[in-house]
Amino acid sequence: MTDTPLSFQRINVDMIQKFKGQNVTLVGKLLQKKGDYVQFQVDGTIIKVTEIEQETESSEDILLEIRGKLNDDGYLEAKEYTELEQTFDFELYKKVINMVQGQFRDLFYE
Amino acid sequence: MNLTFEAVRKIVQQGQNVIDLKQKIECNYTFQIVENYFPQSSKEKLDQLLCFRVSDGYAKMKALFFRTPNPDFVQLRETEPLTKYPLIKVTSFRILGKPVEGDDFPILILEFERLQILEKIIGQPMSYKSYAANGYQNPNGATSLDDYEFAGIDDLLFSNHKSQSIGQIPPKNTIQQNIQEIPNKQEEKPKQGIKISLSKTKFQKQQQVDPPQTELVQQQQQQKPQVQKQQYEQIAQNQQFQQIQQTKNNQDQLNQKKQQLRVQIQPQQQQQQQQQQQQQQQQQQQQQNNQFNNKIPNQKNNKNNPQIDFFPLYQINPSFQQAFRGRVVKVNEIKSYTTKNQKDGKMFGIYVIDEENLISAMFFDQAAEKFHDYIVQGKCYIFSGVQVKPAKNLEQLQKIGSLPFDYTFDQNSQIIEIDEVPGIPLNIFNFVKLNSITQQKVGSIQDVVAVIKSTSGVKEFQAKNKDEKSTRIQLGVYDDSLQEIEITLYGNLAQQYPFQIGEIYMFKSLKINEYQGRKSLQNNYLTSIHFDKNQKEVKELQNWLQNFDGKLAEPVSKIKLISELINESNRCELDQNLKIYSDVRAQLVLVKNSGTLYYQSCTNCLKKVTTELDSFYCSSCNLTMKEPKFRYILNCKIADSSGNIWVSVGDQQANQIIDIPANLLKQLTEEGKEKEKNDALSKSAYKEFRFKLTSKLEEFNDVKRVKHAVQSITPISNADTQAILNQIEFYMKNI
Repeated sequence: MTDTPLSFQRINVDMIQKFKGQNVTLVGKLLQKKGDYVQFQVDGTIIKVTEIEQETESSEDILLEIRGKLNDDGYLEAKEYTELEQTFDFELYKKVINMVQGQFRDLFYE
Repeated sequence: MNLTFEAVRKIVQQGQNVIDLKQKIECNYTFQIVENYFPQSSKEKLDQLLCFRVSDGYAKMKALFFRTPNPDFVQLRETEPLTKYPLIKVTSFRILGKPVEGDDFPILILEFERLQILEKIIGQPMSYKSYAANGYQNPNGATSLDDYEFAGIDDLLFSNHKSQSIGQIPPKNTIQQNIQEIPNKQEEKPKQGIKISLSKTKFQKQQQVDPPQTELVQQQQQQKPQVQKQQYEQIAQNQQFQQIQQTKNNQDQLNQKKQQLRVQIQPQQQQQQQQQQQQQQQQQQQQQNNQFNNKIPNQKNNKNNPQIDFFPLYQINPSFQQAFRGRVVKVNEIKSYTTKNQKDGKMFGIYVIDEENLISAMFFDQAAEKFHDYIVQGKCYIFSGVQVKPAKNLEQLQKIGSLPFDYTFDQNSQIIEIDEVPGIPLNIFNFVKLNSITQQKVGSIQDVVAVIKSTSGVKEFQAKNKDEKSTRIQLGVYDDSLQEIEITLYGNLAQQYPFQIGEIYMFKSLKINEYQGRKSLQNNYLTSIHFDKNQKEVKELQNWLQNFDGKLAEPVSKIKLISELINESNRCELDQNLKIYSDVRAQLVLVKNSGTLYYQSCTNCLKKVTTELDSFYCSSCNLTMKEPKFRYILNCKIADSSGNIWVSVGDQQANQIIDIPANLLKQLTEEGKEKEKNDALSKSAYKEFRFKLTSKLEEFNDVKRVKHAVQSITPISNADTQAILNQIEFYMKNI
């Protein structure tokens, strides 16, 4: 029997308050390591992400989609991540997520 | 509260043209209930109906109401004659019987609104019969209470309570004479001498009656030859006068108002009188074919003052074949035809619209030759001498929204060009947005208004089954639905306008086509194109265009699910020739590593070459070559959320997903470099693309199977998503 897969709802930065304590997916640019967390820039806001190892230095921006749990103090505990192409359109993504969590929420999530 | 002038006449006219008596007719007329009506026939005596006569201030007609929802009307009927006269606004009715010539018929009022109850009857409406007999004029008619009060009791010729015979009261004005004339139907050939003199007296008498305000009083006493022209100028003046009256706010003294109002009412009446008189005169002339000094001046010169009176199209019918005015919205090309008796002839057709209706008219033989070069699409004309018959092909006319008659011009018809009539629209448009075209059936006809994005320019075009060369232009257009579509125009239409990029054109009656799954538009015999910056929809599009950021939706053909395609493919097994076109969005799962990945092709064409001893030979080019060109022929598995299929990918598309050319892959294979080979083949693994596929039944080694061939591969781009998002936003805005 397989476990029910976890659902990491896709959200935008302005929805973080509503999703504290839940599993979410955020996309953004990895900035620098600061001790035990990494700075993750999402739509202008810096989110602190734990459990991510920044491996290689790269000449390009590191664009990631991070799935993890948002804890109460605003840290994102990363569980999984995927690299994104350089052509990723964040504005477009933000618009779509606004719709996904807004008018069309029942098409995507329960 | 104003009544609707001439409403009763319009209803009767409409009734004459009604084919289906059960049809509900929508309208917007304000009437006054003025009388009880005691019906003779049983139809109107039904218990559930109440019978009254309603008036529009000029004429009365029988109108029935349902009893049950109108208890107040039930009560109304209890006084006879009525003492209260309700004003109502009727929005729909049904005709209960066919009108008898010159008389009205009962109508059944379906929907109406109660406005007010008046103590007086507005104006002095006549019975419809008398009204028609009087040339549809009632000098004591009025549409508002005020008018009535100032009409002056002493000018009354008709009382609505007594049905006096018309000839009894000595005339105060020339109305009397009109009435005496009416029994002479217009078609009759009158005696030459008597008619002319009567007309003369009529004109002179009218001139005397005209109020001093019109400047033409002096001119009116001039000789007869000038009469017609002056009549028209007088009409023009009166119209202007009328307009001036209407724009002023009359707070003047009672007398002045009274006089002015009288003038206001009269010119309308007089105008009609004059029109009718002129028409009668003209008809006499035409019938007698003589050259009296009332000769109709050269029509082409008198552009501004056409001498022929015209009627609205809805009034024209086989029993009322009068002149009409309209704009030619389409002139078709002149064609030859051969009758059963082997006679040759020419013909062409036009579409004409006036303020309210559209007709289709034909020209044959001599008329076709005479008029084809004269008529210009888009211009306004007065048409007379047109034969009107009930339509032979009613369905076709109904399809285009035309009146149900056949109109035929002959050699003796007259078509007079007139100045632009602003009240007549350029055409009857029913524009749809380009993004709705994709959902419509092939072959349906639509109107669109769009901006030119690209143009192929006018090109020569050889039609398959015709010898003569024609012209063609292909335009890429778009509108504010962000949808782009191609319009192909054949023939003269291709050169009608410059079609510059950025210009906005209105296309009427384009036909929807489909090619390889993509919808496009094309002209047909009904099509016409218009260019007018002032048309409302053009202005709206222009405004949108100024703020437009340039991002259009991709010409999205319907994206299919693979499961849908698989289902559809079953049809291919039944029909060997069936080709299915699909556009799917899927992931490239894997490229088959084994089997033939490439073939040897001729360097000149793309065909497979046969291997000879130390060379390669192409049978179709008859060429021998040392080294063939290697081209990919791959089998790939693609999958979306609904299913997966194997597709074949040709060299051109393969190079998009594999970054080494086929000959290099061959080399790697021969050198045994499996890893490099696999890496090359997996370059695009799990990437998502848009695949355009063609699916067809193919036979291979006696096995028949549906094969899917890739026509094009497009990587998914942000623009795609943006386009879909735009569409969603667009639809959300317009809900």
